[in-house]
Amino acid sequence: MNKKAIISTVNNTILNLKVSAKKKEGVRRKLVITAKRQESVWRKLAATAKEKENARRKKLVVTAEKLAVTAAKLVATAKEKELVRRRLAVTAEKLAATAKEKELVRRRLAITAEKLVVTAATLAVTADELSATAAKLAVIAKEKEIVRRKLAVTAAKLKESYEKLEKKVLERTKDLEMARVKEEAILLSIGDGVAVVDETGKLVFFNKIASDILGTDANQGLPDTWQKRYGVFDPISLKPLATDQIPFTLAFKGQSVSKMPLFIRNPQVPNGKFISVTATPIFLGGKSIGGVAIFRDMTEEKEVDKAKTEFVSLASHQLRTPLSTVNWYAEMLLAGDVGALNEKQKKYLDEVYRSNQRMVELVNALLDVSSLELGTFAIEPKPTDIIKLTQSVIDEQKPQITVKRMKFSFSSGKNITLIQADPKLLRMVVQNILSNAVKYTPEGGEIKLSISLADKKNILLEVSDTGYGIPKNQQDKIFTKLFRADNVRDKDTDGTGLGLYIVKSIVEKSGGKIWFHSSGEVAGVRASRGADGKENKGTTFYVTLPLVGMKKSVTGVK
Amino acid sequence: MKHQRTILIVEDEKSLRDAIVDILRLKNFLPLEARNGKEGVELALSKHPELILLDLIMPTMDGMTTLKKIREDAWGKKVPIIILTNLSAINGNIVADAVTHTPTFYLIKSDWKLHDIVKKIEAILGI
Repeated sequence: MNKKAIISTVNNTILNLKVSAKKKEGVRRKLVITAKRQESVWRKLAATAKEKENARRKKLVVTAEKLAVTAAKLVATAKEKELVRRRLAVTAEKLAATAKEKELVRRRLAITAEKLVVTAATLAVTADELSATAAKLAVIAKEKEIVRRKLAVTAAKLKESYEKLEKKVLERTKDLEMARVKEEAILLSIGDGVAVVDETGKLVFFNKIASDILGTDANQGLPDTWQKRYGVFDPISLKPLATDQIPFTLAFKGQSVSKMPLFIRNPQVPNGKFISVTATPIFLGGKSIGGVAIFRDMTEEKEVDKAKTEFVSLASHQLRTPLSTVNWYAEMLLAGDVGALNEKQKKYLDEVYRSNQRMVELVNALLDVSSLELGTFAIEPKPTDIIKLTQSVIDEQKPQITVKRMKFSFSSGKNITLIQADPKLLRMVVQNILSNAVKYTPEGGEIKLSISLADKKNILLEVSDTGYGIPKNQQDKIFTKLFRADNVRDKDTDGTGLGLYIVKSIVEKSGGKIWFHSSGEVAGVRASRGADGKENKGTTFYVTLPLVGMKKSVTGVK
Repeated sequence: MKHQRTILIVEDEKSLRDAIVDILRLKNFLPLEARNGKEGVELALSKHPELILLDLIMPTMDGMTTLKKIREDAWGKKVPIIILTNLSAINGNIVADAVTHTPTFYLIKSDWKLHDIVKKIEAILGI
């Protein structure tokens, strides 16, 4: 379109618009009238509107209040929401963190998963092995079951055995108890006194005889120790024994005491008793657990001893009195106290005298033997110089030694001390052995006597000769009572056959020993050769005697 | 004449007493005889012999009792007494008793010659 077209159009439009504006003035006047009408209407409406406005305002206030409340609520809600939002934010953060962790975990899980795969493989292998093991275990289980059953059977058997055993033990215990009671009854009934002490020396057992002998009331119970109730004395001196000499004390120390004579006195009864005690230690497993003493009332034996002693004394007296008469009268006749005798008378009377003398010797020897055998020999030991004693015996024998032109020697050790011995008994020993050597050695022979220490405790007496010797087949009889060897009977008729018997008795009673070595031939052969005198190889006698020597013993009773 | 020493012999066995009396007379002693212990004590205490020979086993009163009785006397305490017996000294109590009452010697008759007994008496009396 060009500009004239546009200005014609715009002028048309302005004319159209002036026409419309006149029409519109007319309409506007009509409209002002209408507006004035409407004004009243409006006024009415305004009043209504005011009322309505008031109502509305009121409603609005209410609403506003409601809104305010709501707003407040909303604010609160908003706050809460903010809080929630914040929490959510936190939560979101946490979730983010969790997500990270989860990621980590996931990775780990992935690793684990890989591992698990490996493990699964391994497990597969293991499973195989396990199944194999399971099979084996099944086998073992079966075996175990078998064993278990067997064990159950064994257990049953064991139980049975145990019950049997228990029954047996009970029976055995009963038997043992019976045995113990029996043993105690036996001990109680033993005919000798029995007393037992334990290792502390306390008396633990006394049998009836022990109580009877000691005059102890059975109801009184046992005293603590032996010495506490009973006085123990030496039976000869009646002096109290030292504690270490009491048999029980010795038994503790492991020493045995055999038939030790004692005098025992219970102060509660009038008289004491002579008893003989044998006490021995009780050993159990090599250890001394006490001592047991057996003792016997010797009162009756003492009486018998007394009778024996009196018999021997009287026999000695009665037998020797007529011998003394013959001796003394023959002696006076031979001495010419009542006038001189002619040679024949003198010779005959000398025979009477010498035979009587032999009889005296025989009676003396027999009395010695009786005393030894009856145990009535009084042994009175005292410190004795055996060398001096031997020298005096030698001096006594010197005349015969000289007459027979014998070589004689006596040697003695320098360290010979005094020995505890009864000199009269010791003398008998030395005298018998030496006189035998002199008697049974031919003229010109040799005798050697020596005394030395055999050891620390014993003395040794040695007498050797170059005599006839003791026939081999009679050597075992040489110490027998009244025995005389065949080869000496024809050489010496004086012997009694009692000398060596007495010597052996004395030596053995003294705790010594006697033996000999002899080269004598068999009797028959010896006798036939005796005449040429070729085999006088001799005999050596040996005697040992303990230095502590003989024990005192006196049996006589007052 | 020389002074004769009085010796009392207390011995119940006549043959033995006679033998002792004879030898003592022969040896110039004056023997007094008692047949038992009782007579012995009486003679001893009345005659106061210089020495007494005393047997042990005798009737009426034995030698040991006699010894005790004599020793109880003031004079008797000192007189030498020889127990001359055939009783062996095997009985410890006799020995103990004898020692207690102090005899001068204890001799066994059958072991002693009469002449040796006389020598013993002379030795004791210092003759």
